[in-house]
Amino acid sequence: MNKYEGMFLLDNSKVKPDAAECAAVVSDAIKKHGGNVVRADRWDERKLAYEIRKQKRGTFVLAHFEAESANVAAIRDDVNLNENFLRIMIMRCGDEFPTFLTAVDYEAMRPRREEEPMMGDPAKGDVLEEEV
Amino acid sequence: MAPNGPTRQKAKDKKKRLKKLTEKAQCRWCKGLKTCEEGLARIDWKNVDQLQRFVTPQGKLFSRKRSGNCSRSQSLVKAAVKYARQMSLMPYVG
Repeated sequence: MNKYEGMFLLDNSKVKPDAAECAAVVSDAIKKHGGNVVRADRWDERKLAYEIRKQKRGTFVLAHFEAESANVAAIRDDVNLNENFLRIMIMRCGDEFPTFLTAVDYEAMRPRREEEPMMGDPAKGDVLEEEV
Repeated sequence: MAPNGPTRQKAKDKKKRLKKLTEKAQCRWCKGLKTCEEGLARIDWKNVDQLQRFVTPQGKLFSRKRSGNCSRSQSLVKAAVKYARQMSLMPYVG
């Protein structure tokens, strides 16, 4: 059994963008071909960069699972025929699964500029620094 | 006769300045790390904000000269952008 990380893009018009339902749809697709789902969770529901089958929005589901290499091809073929899915990307992990990060986690990791205090305009008579 | 204090300091500063000028810029992923693998492991095709820094507003990939990536990291970033495009996380054309 090899370890895989799969990203599934679900059609919002066919599947409700509900966390539990999305995860169930993906888990079923993997388990159908003898895969062992370690974790499947909704990654994000967002606007797509380009339209796919006339859909402008979609739900991404990230799954960590174990499966035989021959079965992965079967999962991919099955998902490509399934109307609930718009896109699929399965990648082989090394010996260990990478950290499970959702889009919210990536957003939190983004470096932000520290908010600087608003500078006053000296022309308007604002005092920038208090004179001692 | 040994050079006095200020002269020696000046020579040191000059050497430091020259070193800074001639030093080759390091790739942002490998910078300050013992092995490049640690840094390259941070390249993730799902991290769209990270990848946006390596493409133009139109969605075209920056050159190595512009992005400052080393050969290996540029190759990995390229692959990551292509995976993100395939999953409709990033646009093919802006």
